[in-house]
Amino acid sequence: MEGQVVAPGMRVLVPGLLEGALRVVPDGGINDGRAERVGRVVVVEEQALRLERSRQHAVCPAVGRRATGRVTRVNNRMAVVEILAVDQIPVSDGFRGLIRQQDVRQAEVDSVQMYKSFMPGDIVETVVVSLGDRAAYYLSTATNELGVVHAFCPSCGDTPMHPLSWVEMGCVQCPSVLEFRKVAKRPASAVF
Amino acid sequence: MIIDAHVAAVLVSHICCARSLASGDGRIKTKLGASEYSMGKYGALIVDAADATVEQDSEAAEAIVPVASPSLFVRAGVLSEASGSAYVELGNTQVFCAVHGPRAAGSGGSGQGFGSGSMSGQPSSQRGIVTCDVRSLGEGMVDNAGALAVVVSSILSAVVRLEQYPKSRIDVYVLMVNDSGSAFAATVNAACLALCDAGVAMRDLVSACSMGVTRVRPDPASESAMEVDKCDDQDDHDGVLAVVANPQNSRPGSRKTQRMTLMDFAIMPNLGRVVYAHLRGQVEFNHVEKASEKAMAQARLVAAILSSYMREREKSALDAMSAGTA
Repeated sequence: MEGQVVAPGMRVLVPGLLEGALRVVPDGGINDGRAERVGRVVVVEEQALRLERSRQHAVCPAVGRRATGRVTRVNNRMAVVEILAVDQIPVSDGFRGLIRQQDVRQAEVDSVQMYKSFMPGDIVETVVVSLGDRAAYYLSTATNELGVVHAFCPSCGDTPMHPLSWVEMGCVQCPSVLEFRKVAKRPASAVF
Repeated sequence: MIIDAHVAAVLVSHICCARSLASGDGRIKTKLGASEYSMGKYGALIVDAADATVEQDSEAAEAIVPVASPSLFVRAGVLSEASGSAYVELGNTQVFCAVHGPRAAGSGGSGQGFGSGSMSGQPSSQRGIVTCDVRSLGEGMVDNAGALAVVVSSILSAVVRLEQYPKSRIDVYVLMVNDSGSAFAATVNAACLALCDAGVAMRDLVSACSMGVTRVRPDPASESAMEVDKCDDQDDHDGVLAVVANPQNSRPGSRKTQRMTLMDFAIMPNLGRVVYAHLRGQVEFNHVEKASEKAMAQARLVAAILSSYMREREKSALDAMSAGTA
């Protein structure tokens, strides 16, 4: 049924492929051979099926997904993050995450100082490591590309700072300002 | 998000205007089973009532007359703020449904008085929950709004793949613009469409049908047979036994459907499962099977209609998208 639009519950079959040999993209909208949503069946990478939709459906945080959020509170054991997007898809309000001290970086986890890693108002890129407890998901920034993406200069207020190293950020307008953060390594092609 | 009464009135008039415009040219007529349905120009779906036929049941002592279901009008994507939404008209019963989610459980919306809301358990780390809130536009128009909310949330929690939304909540808000007897069927169908529109992962579609078992005056093939006001109480043996799909009160404020024997069914058509079955009142043994057969057939028909409507809609949206980028 490649190219056909299916509704939830309909069987998804491609002529020419044995049903047992059907591969499905995980989280592609096809489960147990049946569609989960309304969408068009497309074949990607030879024999993998997923559903294509005109509108992105809403998601919730799941283990292994990237979560982008804003830091709301910091204490010496953890930073509380308000999750804004999962895998670049905006989510509803209210999803909360925690970055615990042991999840900030990979090396020397005992000597991490939370106030030198995050400050309230920072935008962070994290990965969800666990569903956590009732209040929050557990997030981690323990790789090079994760960490603070945006932080604002404390003296001039609204200016975003730029990274100087993986632990420091500085402000363009205030040369004396040097802020400590766990900085995310952005690819060379990144705009900011 | 509770739908404002003012907004609802504007939307209903807008949709009715679109519906009357859609009745002109630009209709695509297709036959589906026993009834015709057509896709209007504005992406709305209008189903005309099928012709009623008289059946003779040789085993039963008397003939049971199936009476056609009132016309069905559906439209999805009517509320821009919601994740998904739908508007369903079943005869004179009009229902809006909005779906929000997945949301974090225990946040947002709990500040408002959920007088007629209900939840299907507590969200856990394995599965989420579906909450349902039923409100009516007028005062006291929906009887047992709370009971309806409980029923709808339990039906939807069987249909939605909640294990994909751990620790999350999917909120379903129902606004009953007018309830003339088919609140249950219209609500469940609207909720199904709204969930499809939102892209919530579901096991299958869900469609519902209510079947009233009652007696009608002679001359059942005319349209007036659908008017329940002509039916008398169960004890009166005049008139012909009839099963009425999605019975409607013919006059606003009339409560005739309250006194009918009513069977409600909700089914998952592709999986072939009944999700909800409820009988209110009394039915003779040999009428139960007949009535429930007709109810299931009607529900399957509605499911086919909802399915093809959603697929057509998605197809035209995808084509518009690829035409835009090409």
